Amino acid sequence: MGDLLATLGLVAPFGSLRNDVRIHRPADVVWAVIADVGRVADWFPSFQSSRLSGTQRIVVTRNGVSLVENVLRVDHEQRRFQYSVVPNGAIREHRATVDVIDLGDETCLVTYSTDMVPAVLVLALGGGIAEALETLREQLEAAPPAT
Amino acid sequence: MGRKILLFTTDQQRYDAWGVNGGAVARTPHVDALAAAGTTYRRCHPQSVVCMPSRSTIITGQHVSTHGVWMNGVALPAEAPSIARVLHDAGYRTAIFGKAHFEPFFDLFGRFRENALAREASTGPHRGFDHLELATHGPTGSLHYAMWLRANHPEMAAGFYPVLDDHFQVNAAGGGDTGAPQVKSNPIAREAYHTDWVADRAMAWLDTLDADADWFCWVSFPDPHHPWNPPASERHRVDWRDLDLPAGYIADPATRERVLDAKPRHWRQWYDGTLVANFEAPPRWVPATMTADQVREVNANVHIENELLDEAIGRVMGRVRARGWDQDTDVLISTDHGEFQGDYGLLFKGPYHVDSLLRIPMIWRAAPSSTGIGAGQVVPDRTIDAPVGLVDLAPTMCAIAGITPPDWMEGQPLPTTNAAPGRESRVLTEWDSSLFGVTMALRTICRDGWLATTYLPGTVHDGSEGELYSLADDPHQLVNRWNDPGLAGVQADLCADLRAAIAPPDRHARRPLVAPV
Repeated sequence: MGDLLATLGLVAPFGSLRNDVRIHRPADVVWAVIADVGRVADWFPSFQSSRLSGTQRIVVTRNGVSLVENVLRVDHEQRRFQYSVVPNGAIREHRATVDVIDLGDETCLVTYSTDMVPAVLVLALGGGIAEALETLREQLEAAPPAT
Repeated sequence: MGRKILLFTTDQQRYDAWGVNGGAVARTPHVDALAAAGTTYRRCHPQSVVCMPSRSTIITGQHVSTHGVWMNGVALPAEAPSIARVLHDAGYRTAIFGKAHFEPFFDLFGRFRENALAREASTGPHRGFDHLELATHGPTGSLHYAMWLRANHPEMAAGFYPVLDDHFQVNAAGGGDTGAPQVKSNPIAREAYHTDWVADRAMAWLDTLDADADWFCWVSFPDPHHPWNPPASERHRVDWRDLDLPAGYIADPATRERVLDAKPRHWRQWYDGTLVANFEAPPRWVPATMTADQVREVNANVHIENELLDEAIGRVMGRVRARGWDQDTDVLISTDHGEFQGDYGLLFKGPYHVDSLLRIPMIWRAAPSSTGIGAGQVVPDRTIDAPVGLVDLAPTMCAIAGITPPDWMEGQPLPTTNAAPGRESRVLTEWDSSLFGVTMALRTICRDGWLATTYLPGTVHDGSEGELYSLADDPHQLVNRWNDPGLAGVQADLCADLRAAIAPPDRHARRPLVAPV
């Protein structure tokens, strides 16, 4: 367990998780959706709404909880998006990185990495992220490919 | 009009909880009376020793590797096979009260229907249940009981022991008189405690049914699962200072450690506090530090909770009688898995397949109208020694309802006599976990008086480890005979049977882990 190991001085008390999905669409197409960070609720079913406010993103979960997130990086060159949830009663530290990796065959791999404290909550976030990546894949692959 | 089905389950309850099974502290006359009028199974095992996989087995009638809920935190899909749906489709009214836990409690995003019902002021339907009113072990979360308690008795909601600590880990903080983990004096009024609430809600639903309705009512009490915080008004029932230590508690530390050292190494690692393999035990608690008085106090609280459970069962049975249904109602009583409760110097549960966690109560009081001599029925035996499992509950309910069990059910109707021909005489239990870098897998078979567990390669095991116990000679599984050359043939036979029965886990085929619990 992350916390147990931390008390023994072995690792930081972070929970760390990576989700990924391969999408049969070009990396630029997929990146365009992810880089439109204020519209994450369009493909993240656990969010009922999302909006940008300056450098922050406010998402509202399906059960009505608002999360404020700092947008840390939207890197079009690397196709990398990074953000962190502003600490609240449950989440103490958080950083997430979403990468879109071109696989060179008109497909790409989306990786969604999350590190957070408390460690155990990363599992609960991961379930929502896995569902979101699958939704993203379904939405993009259902759309006709660009010609 | 058919036979009605009343299923009582508790949570994390040992075989010896009830008087009929040898419990000598808690007074349980209502359960004992039902057992006296029915059949008691003396060797019933769950197919997993943690909640979500085990409960998924109850509702599906499938082994863990089939329904796919391989550890806590894995959700059973809403469309998964369900005995409730089978009975609903056969014309039964169906309901569940109390702890369902087919979906994770940890639900940051509000993804799971069980957690959404009360928020939406809904009581279903879901999973084949027409009606659901859900509860867990306290006042947090968005299940019906928690929301009811916070809305109606907010001052009482604050009196529970906090199951999780500020890192959302199982809380190790000590309480009570002895500083035992997960123990607290709870000032809540008895009537507002979840045991009575669950019984009250079940009785209220029964009152809504037509007299000639066929119904399936699952009354699923959250106790005696930790936290051990029964209403303080009931603490007079059992004074921990008066209790003998449980038979499975090894008082001498050196002897205790020798017993643990003869088992696969994760036993001793957990005892020493160097490895916690699963979420269900507090990672900040070191079992080796537990005192005999702490064991007594935990047990006293459990006995009190068991008495309250018995009285709640008695109240529900009273309502069944008042409605005139008793003669036509089959009553099943079981739990989802056991609890160490001090055995080997341990508490809680985990990847440890011994009787503390494996041997559970199973009682079937068949509808009296179905068993009379002269009605062409075989008179049931009072006790059954053959191994049975929770996987057998769903097909048993099909048999009660006169329905052919669907092909997807893997169990068999519970035997009613010791001379039941053609019935499998083994019971299987699986453990799989993979949490924060610690992976563990156990496969267990109980057959012919032997209990054998094999270990698959994982974080601390190389796949050669195992446990083998003679249940008759070693009722507390103190002597691991896995490496006894004189038992090589027995071990090989049991392991071959086990391998044939349970395929190795395919981690890519597993349902996703989406929460700690």
